[in-house]
Amino acid sequence: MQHCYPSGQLRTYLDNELPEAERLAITAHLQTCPECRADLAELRACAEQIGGLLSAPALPDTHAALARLYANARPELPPLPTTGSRRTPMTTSQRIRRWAAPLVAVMLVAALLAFPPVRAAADQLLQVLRVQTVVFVPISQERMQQLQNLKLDDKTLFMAEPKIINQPGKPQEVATVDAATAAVGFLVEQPANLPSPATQTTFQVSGRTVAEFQVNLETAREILRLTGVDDVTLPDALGARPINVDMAPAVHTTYTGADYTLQLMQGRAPLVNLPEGVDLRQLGRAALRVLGMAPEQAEALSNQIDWSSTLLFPFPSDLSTVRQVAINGAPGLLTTGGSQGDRTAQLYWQRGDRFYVMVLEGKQGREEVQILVQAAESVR
Amino acid sequence: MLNETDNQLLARFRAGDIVAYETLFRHYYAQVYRVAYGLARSHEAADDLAQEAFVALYRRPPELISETSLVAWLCRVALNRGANSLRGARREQERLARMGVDSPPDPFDDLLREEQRALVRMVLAQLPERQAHILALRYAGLSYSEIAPALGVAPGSIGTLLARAERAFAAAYSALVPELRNTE
Repeated sequence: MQHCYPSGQLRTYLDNELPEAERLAITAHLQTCPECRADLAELRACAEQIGGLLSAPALPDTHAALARLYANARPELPPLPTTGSRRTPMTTSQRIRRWAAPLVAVMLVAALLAFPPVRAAADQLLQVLRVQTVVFVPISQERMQQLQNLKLDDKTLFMAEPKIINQPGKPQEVATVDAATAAVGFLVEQPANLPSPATQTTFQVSGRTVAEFQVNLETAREILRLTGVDDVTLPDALGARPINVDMAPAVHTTYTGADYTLQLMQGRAPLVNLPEGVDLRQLGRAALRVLGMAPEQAEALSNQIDWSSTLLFPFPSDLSTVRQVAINGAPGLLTTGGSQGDRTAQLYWQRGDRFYVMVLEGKQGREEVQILVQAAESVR
Repeated sequence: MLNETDNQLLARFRAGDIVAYETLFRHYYAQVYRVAYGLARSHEAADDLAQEAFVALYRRPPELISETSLVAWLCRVALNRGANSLRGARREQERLARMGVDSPPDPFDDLLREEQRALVRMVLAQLPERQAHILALRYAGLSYSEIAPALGVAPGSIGTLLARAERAFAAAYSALVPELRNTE
């Protein structure tokens, strides 16, 4: 019989931090060893009790923390070195305000576009936006049709082709969740509940991307006019300087089981630089109005929202294939579609400054939704 | 594994690019805060400790080496600064015990939560420093490969240290709770 394992090794096993071969050996040993099973159960109970007592509070407000750091400590901090590759100092008019998280302007642009299907919008989120808070805005079929009828060319919304300053390169495959964590700099999470154990798991890490683009203000204003929104004006500053988006690396994990494929994409909020003089609340209100919200309602909602960290996510209110669901109490958006052989269900949600997109293929109907929501709720 | 992105950002910051510093702040503040909260058990103290770690980063950005991540470095700074605050918790133990005698039972959740936070803080204060630190790191969600450099130990020893710390915590907690009850 295999020798018994010390508590430390069993504790590592409990956290799924052992190399695969060792993990399998312990799993096999546990089948036949009541002493080790009891030790493991005791470790698990102890960890659960402590987990309950030491659980972390709600995530802190990082923006406010940075502002506090500057307010309290900056006068004492030494000036930054002036040698090396410091960027050319910006003049006041060039100074860019920096915002972490979602680019309301991008969302405005996205909202103004000829309305991509929601599924495509979810794909775009992965590339462009990561946010602290999502507000799902229902949009009527009629309004969608009106926006589609504008037949806008998305290229005309920008003065020039968006410029990629830092190419992320091809996504790199890594062998383990630890390697993915090390590569992206945040703790990569995994779903504990899969429909059946995955026979294959792959991790792909995409690099950091920095992009810059400049809004064509004339086109944006024309869209407001065409959609009958005359109570909101877009500031000149929006088109004056390029908007800069700095996207942190993200991880794409694929779990393949006997009769399903589940993909989980996760990442963190990007840094977004907006030109000085852009009032985010004003942009937010414009977006809400274009999406069909009444002026008073848009005004009230735009005053409530912290636009520096909120993404508007429009979804068709009258399509049975798109609906809001709760993921551990937080709102998520579920889309289902495709025919029998090509069926997918997709779920978008976020927690703290982390966003997640989960895609399930191979299941159908009620089971499909149940599996997806359960898997999403077990991500940790 | 060497984290290219952090190293690039640190290099940019050393060259005077404040945007790189703010990027690192946004990437890691929440994680460092959670670790500090695990130890200090109050928002204000956790925020102070996390801020101190980032002030240290501003003053002396580290040279990252292989097998060490920036989040581990930041957590180590926050935990070392937090050791002092934890020592203060030992004195709090006596105060809370007196409170148990003097205060009438209070039905409000906030007060109960506050009491539990104080209890946990006292238990952590009783543990050897390294045990308190490993619990704060693990229950803030750090992986073993991040915890090891933060504590300055080999990754292979984390399981053993963690199991020991958890058992010590559970024993101290269950010993302390009856002790408080007996003072009523």
